[in-house]
Amino acid sequence: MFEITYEVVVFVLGITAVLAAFGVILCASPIYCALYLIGNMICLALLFLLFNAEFIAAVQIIVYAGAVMILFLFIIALLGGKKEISEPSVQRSSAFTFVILLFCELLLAAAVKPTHPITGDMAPDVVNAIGSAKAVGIELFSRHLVPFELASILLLIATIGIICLAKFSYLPARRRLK
Amino acid sequence: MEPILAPESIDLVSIAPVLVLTVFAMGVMVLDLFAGKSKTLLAFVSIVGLLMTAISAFAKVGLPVFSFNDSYTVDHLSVCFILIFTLSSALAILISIDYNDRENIKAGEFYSLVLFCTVGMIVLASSTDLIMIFLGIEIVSICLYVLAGIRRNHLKSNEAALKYFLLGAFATGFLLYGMALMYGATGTTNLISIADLIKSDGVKSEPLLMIGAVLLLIGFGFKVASVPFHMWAPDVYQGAPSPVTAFMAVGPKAAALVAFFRVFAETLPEISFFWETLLVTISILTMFIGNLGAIMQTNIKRLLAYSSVSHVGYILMAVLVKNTLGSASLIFYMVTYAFMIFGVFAIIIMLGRKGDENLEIEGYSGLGFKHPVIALCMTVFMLSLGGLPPLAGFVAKFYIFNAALQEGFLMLVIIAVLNSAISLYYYLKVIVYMYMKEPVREFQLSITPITLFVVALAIIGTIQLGIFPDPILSLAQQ
Amino acid sequence: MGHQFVLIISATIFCIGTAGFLIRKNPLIMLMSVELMLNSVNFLLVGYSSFLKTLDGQIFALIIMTVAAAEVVVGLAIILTIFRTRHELNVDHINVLKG
Repeated sequence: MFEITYEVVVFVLGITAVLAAFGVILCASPIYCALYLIGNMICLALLFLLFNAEFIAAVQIIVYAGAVMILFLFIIALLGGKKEISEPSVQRSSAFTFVILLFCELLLAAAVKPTHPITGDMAPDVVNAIGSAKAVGIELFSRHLVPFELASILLLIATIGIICLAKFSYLPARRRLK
Repeated sequence: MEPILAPESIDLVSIAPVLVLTVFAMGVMVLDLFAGKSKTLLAFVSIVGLLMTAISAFAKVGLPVFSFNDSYTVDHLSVCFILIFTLSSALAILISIDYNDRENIKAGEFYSLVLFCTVGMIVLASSTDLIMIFLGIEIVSICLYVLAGIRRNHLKSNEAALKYFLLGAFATGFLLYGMALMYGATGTTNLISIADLIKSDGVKSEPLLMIGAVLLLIGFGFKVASVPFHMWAPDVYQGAPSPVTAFMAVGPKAAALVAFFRVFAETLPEISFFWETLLVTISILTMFIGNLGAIMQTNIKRLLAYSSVSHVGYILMAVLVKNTLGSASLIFYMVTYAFMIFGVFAIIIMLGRKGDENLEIEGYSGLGFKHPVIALCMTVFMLSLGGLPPLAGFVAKFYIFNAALQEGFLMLVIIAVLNSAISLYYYLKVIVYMYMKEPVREFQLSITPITLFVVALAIIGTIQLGIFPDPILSLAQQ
Repeated sequence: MGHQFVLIISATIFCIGTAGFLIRKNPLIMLMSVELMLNSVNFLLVGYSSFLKTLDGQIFALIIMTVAAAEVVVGLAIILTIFRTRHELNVDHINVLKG
């Protein structure tokens, strides 16, 4: 009798995430790519849940799969998602060589047993006792205070940047279209 | 669960430069509302801000100081680099005032973004935490993506921004994967703890750490434009507005290099047997491909792009040296490089006019007869970039090669000297065009007092540091 | 099921993202490939965070999400400006700059 255990769920979600990732790079039409990417993100969010990172999972769904991907879909709708015809080329095969080399190198990392690095006191039961969001919050506002503030500066910069790039243009749009 | 941060670790004085500059960057945005059409006022406010930042860098005494749970470090290296960043940003703002007027870039955001970019560089130079280094790199990069594409109706500017953005984001992926592996190998993101752990423990032989180091090398390689990850540099340098090109050739590159130094030379010296060979190869390739690429260029900005790639090859030797001698030569090299690059770009900006930037080297023919003083200044900068005595470029190279020799990199130094000789070919080509060819076009210079001031400052810096390098050298060595 | 599995899955997704970036010509899809790479990093960080029992990895993942959102916004603005001047989106045809 096949039993659905924690391991099986993690395994199935991981494989689904990989398949969705393949969908992103193999679909000709950008709109399908975006949908596959959302699928990939949701799989990863579920995996985050299984790794006791409820808060990160929620943020992943709300911010990433929600806001960021909506922006993607909006731009695709605006620019028109034309299909792209691909043909094999030298550049393509050299790209594959590079990627395969990279993959082997990264697999090398998986081939070894973990040694004994620092382990903290944030065991799952400790985190669950105070709640994932609270634990992350305490950590964020104490040990990682400066990165948190810097991230806010970064968001401000992004806002300034897109206003700079996208605000009303110096030339009227119709004249440029000619 | 108690808050983990000890209250005494929150040290706002140590991050004073970041705070001061952020306030000024936001102040410039607000002032933009009232500034009207001319943005010159904003430029001067920005320069005041940079000056204040440079002063606030000295707020902390008794270096080194570690604050915010050792994630932020104020040491000699970071203070020196804050001075370099403020100097280079101030020069970039000075040369952009007239350029922006001329090319109709009427965005007050320009100055604000330069200041924010400098904030990112300061963070990058002072942080000893992987998360903060990542944020610093991203702050710098996002500002530069926007600055490269700030001429929105200009096809080349758009293209430069797109290429820079796509490759920059790609490189960020590698950088992050490397950081994640390092976190996985050691269990912490703090560079000081990682260094301690490697020293005390058997993490040394950890493949995770090594593969993480390789990926970090790829990521940083993209950011500093070292071969084989330099492809973006010529295109982006050519397409970006000239002051932005000068800006990104000095400040952000210096910031990425100092983070490079912190991660590799200060944190991972114990596993240097592994990354040293890789870095030596990268350094040699960077010199050769940069110099050979520059020989074939006809556009002055592309030429300088390849030349800056080759300079990265020399500077990477400072990372290889790993000790304080390395950091001192890094500091001195970046100071001289800042003077030379801003001098050259100030002249390039002078030689162009609205709608015609005059960027082909052909267009410089006969400059020596028509405008001898400007041609002489250009000659000095070119010879200094080529590393001829008694100019600053020579002392900087001599110092860095000497440091590498003391660490036993004899082959590398020989190759670097050889490359220095190759590089003279294309620097001299520019001089030959200026003095030995008939003019092919009329010169319509847009000389303004501010640009002249920058050229004069750069000339003084280049000659002064070449003849009397001791004050800056001893400051760098401290 | 644990350490190795997380590494293999995230390495696979990372390499798929790299391959997508290198073979696709549409900057939008290239940007999505970069998002794949960042997602794989997030997965690795959260996985390790759970094995190592420290929250640093989760914090790092949170910061990466913030930065990625900012980066995407700026990137899409750049893609939009280039589309407004060229009416085309193929990186092979965007080649004014060369030498």
